[in-house]
Amino acid sequence: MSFMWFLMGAIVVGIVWTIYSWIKNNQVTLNWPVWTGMIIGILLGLFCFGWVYSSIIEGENQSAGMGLLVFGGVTLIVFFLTRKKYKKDNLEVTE
Amino acid sequence: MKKKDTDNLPEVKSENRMGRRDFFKAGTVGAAGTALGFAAILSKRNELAAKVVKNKSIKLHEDFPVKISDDLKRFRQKNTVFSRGMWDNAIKGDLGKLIAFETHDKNGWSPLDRAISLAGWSMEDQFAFLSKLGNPMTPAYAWEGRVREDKYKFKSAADATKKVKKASRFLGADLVGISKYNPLWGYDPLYVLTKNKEVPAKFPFQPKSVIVMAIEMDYRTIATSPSYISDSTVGLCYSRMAELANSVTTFLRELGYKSFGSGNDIAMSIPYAIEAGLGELGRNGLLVTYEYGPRVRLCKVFTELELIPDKPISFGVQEFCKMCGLCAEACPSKAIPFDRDPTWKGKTISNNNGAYKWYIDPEKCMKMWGENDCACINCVASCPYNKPDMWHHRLITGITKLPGNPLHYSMVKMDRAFGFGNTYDQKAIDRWWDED
Repeated sequence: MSFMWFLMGAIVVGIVWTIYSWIKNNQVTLNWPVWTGMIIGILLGLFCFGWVYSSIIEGENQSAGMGLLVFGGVTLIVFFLTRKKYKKDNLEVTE
Repeated sequence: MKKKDTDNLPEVKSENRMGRRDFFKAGTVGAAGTALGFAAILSKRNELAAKVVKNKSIKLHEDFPVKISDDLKRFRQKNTVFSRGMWDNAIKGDLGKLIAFETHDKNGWSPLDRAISLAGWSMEDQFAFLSKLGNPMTPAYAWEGRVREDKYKFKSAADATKKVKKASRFLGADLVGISKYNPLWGYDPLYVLTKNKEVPAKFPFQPKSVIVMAIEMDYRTIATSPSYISDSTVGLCYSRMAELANSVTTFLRELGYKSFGSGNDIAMSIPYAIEAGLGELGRNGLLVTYEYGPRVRLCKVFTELELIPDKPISFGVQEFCKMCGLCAEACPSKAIPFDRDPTWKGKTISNNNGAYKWYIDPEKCMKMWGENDCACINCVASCPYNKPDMWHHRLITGITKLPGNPLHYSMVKMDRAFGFGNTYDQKAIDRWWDED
């Protein structure tokens, strides 16, 4: 289980660095709804990863699968909506 | 020598290159992340985090959290359904079938499965014969024994409480709490099953405190309920109860304090466990603990040593049970009520009326055990609080504390959808012997 927390820490670092690089390289400015959506999506994704990992460790495969479906699905929806919001805001700016 | 063609080298955009500043930033963030990761491994942060979540989820009470009326009296032990198996013709047959330990040509009830069940029960049978049915004064739970003359002087009651709890955990308790001695939870008169005789509940000394201990039953074994395999972890924990109570009793007697242990005999374990802050009362009539749900067995030690009692707790079980009812659905004999709210009165002489709770029908339960040829524990296996002690289950337990019928309803449905709480699970029975 300790390895799971270590992996999560590494994933968080990777995500933070990726976002930082993307913002810097593309000189992007994000508003608070997009930031909120991104953070919520990342937290949900981490929770999904943790749930699936822990369920597999304790031998509850159905729980792992359902966790991936439910929490992973919600994560994707949040990211989709955030991306849509970002694109809409960007389109308004360029007009 | 060929000249290098530097004109045709691909152009490297400066903004895509990592400069020294960026490299150091990345290195710092990476190092911090790695340090965090190692901190999680090397430090006790996980346990601390678990403690924080637990403390936030649990509410302490000053008074006994289950409502009781003046009708509640000390219960006549002869009327418990186990005792009635000795003298009541309506129950004798069911108990007789239960203790016959018949086998069937079916996984879970085979001679191999019966052997593991009886192996689990062996210490209880050897040293605390029939205490599981409430028989008092068995060797493991003897009321009297050698007590050192000089009483050990603890620095304070707090110090004594801390040391007693440490000793109890070391000797095998998974959970331990302290309650004041409360005669209301004791049987009177007691019933000696082996002699079919009632005796007054007069102890050799006046107990001041009761050390209540819970022992966890194995999660994957309980999942095979109802079968001899699930009965094996029940029996094993009864055997551990006898050893644990006897060990803690010996510890206290060696310090000069008169003490004696108890399993199912002398007094009801569940109200004592609630008083001692080990858990809440569930719909299934059992103690539901924060750590293991109802998947525990309880024993206690009565002592003249004065200890600081713990406070009763709650963490949303009563409210959740109103919406849930999964134990009632899983009960093969329908002994657990489906009513949304608790009541003040039970249906049989084996119910102790006067507490506001869900009253199970022990006659139906015993009848099913007889038909099943071994005890059933479906009400524990099916309970949503019955989960291994892992972070994500504790998080869900914390969420159940939030009010709201729609939330509880969806959590009940999700529990089943995620594959928890199955009973009559032939796959779980079939793979039990193959698992490590």
